[in-house]
Amino acid sequence: MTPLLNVKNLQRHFSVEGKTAWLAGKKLLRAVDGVTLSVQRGKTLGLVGESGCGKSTMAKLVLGLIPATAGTVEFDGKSVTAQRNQAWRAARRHMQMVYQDPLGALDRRLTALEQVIEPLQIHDKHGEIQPALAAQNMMSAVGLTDNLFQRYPHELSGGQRQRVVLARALVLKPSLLVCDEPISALDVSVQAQVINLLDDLRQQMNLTMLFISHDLRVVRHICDEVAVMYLGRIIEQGSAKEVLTHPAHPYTQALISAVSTPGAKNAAKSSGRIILKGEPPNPVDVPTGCSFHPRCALATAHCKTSAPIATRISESHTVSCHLHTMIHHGSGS
Amino acid sequence: MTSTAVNSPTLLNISELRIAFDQRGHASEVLHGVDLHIAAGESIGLVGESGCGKSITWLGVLGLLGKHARVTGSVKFQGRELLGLSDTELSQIRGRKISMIFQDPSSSLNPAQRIGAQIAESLTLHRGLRGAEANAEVLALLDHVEIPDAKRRMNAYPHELSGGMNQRVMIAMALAGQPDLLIADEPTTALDATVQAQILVLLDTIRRDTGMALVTISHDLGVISEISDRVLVMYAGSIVESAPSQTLFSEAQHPYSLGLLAAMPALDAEVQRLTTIRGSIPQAGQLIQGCRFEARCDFAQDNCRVAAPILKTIAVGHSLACTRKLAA
Repeated sequence: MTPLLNVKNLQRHFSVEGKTAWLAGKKLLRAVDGVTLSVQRGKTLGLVGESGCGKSTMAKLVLGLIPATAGTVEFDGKSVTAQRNQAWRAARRHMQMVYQDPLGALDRRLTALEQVIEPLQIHDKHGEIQPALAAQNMMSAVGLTDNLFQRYPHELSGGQRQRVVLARALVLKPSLLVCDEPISALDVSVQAQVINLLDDLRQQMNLTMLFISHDLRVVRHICDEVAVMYLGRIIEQGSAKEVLTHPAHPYTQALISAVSTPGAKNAAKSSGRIILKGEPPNPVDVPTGCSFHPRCALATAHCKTSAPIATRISESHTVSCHLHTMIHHGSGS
Repeated sequence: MTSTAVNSPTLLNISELRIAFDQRGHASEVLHGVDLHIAAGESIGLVGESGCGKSITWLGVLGLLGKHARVTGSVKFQGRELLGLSDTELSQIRGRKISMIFQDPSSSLNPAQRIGAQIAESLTLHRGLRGAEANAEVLALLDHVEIPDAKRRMNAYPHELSGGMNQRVMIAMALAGQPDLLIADEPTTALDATVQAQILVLLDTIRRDTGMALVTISHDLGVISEISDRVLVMYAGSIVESAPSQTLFSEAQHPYSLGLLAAMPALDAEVQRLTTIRGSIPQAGQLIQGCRFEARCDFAQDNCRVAAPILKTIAVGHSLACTRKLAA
């Protein structure tokens, strides 16, 4: 079966002018640097990593909101380019986005109902759907009650706003939903409500999702597959269960050990939490070789000079780390 | 550790703290009588959702709420009543005896001043250090918060440092007055997961080294459980449960604490449906006669609507504000 979303060797570089630009020339920020991934219809792929690793740039590239430097994005077998032409507009109807901050994503001068009607007015020019009715139905489906329809965003709670954002994204019945940190602005008890809602809607509407998050617990809960990004590259990918219970890359291992578990007092000392040295490097100055080597406790001289390539370590699990290429080459030869 | 904390003298004793804001003539109460004591060297955690009063408690204690706030009750710090003190008197305590660090380091630091100078400013203010003496102390503080290459970094501006480094600078500034109590308000929320772990370990180490007491405010139960001896759960302006952290995570009694714990997905468990707390928090200032959690509670009974439950001790170190008796 062809995947609904197919990304091949995608790159996006930004040129940045530092304060010494007139001396050193323009520098390149490699926000996304050769990403290959695919999402099957009806599945959810989690994209995890720290701030600045390129997660959100990936979301914009997938939707064709910004052009790629190199590589391709295919949606439903058709190439997505960032050209604002008829084909792009037609495809956009089927791919929608949910942002982190619902208040920033909503128009403050429109009522909840008007926000949800708007996409229908844009995409359904021939009036095949009754906009008000379709919008109301979708708002009920996301758990908004009638008395909230005429409210403005500032009159709604955080959870209610995110439900409006969801209704607006889903009212066109898209096949792909890109969620960029959809719950991190919400309170814990409301987070659980929205996660459950996403879970239900995904099944009811057979949604395919690209779920961007830094919260591994949520990713484990909602995603079928997970891809871990570090400085613009995917360093580990596979089924959510396998990657998050048997992480192979030292970075993934550190990310997982950084998840604090309630009740595990002083986990840092007792269970050998991995505390990484330093912070994610600036994507303008990506380290040579394996970009993770300056923070990796297991790095060898080889890691500083050559970049590891993705190695399959099980049916549904690939990792880009020399520790694993060596083991697998060793056993293969 | 808890055992030493129990024997230590009381550092801070808050009783019946109420905070209300004047709104067009009528007062809307946001904090409904908070009782809380902290022993010297103790580490306590305060959890709850946005608007539950976990930050405003401390802003009220430190007199930082402005003239529209009415703060009543009693706050005794080292035996001295803080409420009613003048601004001049309070400024002897703020930053020197009680320090506070905030969620977003980049908006708390002055973007136009080098970080060394910002730390030196607090040293001059609180300890009267100047010139070379202050500089030496800045270096020592930067070392203490584990900023590598401190000599060079003290001349950096906040935008030249990462979020984690800036939070370390904030911690260094807070430590400049050698406080007896440090209040960390969501200290790691704005940081990445791997950096968050570094900062939590740092705060814990500093507390052990200096013997100061630490209050960590967070909505993340995981963060709290890692560095706190005792956890207080707040809901809509009241403390609803207080227990040693181990006890809270294994034997929480209040339906809201249980809800918070259950709402968090687990990393290692098989995927199942998350338990949610229905509805949302009551609006600030809304008059509620009975238990403020009653409308969202699965165990609510008729008498929950009559009077607000008060915090009662149910076991050693464990108190609860709920009338329902939980079947074990």
